[in-house]
Amino acid sequence: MNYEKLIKEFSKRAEIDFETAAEFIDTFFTTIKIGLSKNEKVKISDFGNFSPKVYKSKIIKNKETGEIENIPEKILPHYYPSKRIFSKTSSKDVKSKKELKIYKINNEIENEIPKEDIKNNISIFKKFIPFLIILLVLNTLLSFYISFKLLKSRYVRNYFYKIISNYLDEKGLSYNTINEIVDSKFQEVINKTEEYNQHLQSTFSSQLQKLKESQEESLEKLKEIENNLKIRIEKMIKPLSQKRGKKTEVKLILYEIKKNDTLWDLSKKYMNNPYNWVGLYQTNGEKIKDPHKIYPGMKIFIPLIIEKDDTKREDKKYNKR
Amino acid sequence: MTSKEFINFISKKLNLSKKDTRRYSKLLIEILIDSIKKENQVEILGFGKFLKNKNDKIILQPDKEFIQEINQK
Repeated sequence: MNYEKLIKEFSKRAEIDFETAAEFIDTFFTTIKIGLSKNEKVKISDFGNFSPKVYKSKIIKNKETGEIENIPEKILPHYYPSKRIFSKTSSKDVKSKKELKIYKINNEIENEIPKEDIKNNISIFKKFIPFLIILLVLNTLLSFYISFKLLKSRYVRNYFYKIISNYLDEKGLSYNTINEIVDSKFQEVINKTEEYNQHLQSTFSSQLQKLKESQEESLEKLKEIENNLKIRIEKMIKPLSQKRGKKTEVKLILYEIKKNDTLWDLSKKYMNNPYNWVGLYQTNGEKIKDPHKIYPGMKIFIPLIIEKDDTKREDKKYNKR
Repeated sequence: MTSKEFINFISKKLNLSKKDTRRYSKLLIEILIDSIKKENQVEILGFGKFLKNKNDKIILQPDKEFIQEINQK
């Protein structure tokens, strides 16, 4: 682009006269010149940096003439374009250092192994997984079998025996002394266990005796209660049997009370007389506190009255006579 | 010279506001970039040429007058 064209376009876009546009562009570049002439760096944002570069003096030999020439010191302006300009003007994608590193690595990976190949490899590997597992299991089993066989074999045992015997010789010990030590230790252990057993037996026997004594006491108490009950029942039933002139026998039964049971009904059923409910109540006085309130599931003693008829015997005697 | 100082210097010289100078300078830079993109070079009288290198890098090819001016001072 020419200088004129540049001024024209600038005037068009900025909507300024041609002269003012030219003046602005002139001042723009003259300021850069002034900055560089002061040996200063000129930074313009979004455009780049201008800096003076010093080339030192040189002595050169001319190849054609063969004369020696002295080139004086030079200062040349150098332009470093900004990243924005470089990205806009260049055909390649410009990235930061970090992005470039990642981009390079990704490119390398992509170039080395294409994605389709990776997928295929994974699918093949998946097919072989069960075979691999079976192989692993077989390998472990084989290793166990071999180790077991080796331990069992005579050669291995002899080898270990030799190693142990050598070690013992170095320490100044023999198998007999070790056996004695082991036996003594073993006997100590046995003695201790026996002592402990005796101690346990003594403690348990004393406790067992106490339990037996308490059991016997409780049984005696139960017998006393039974006897008392029998005495009470006999006292109750005797007058009735005397009235009827019949012999009676009494048996105690444990009865579980059911729904709709009453002492009146129970005495009628088992004791032949409903008015004996008082006796029933007195015999189970410890359990039944109110005779009108008995509950299902409650267990009570019922004296069963069994009557024995003597009238038949008397009749037989009378007939004989 | 920073970009702030640069804009202040131009605005003082041309009696323009800082806002306008910033706008104009941005416009100029955009025109320069577009022209380099299209034609690969921009010529500025008394300053030099902005060229594109083989490696897509922009270089300044300074004029003789410009070099003389710097070296004289």
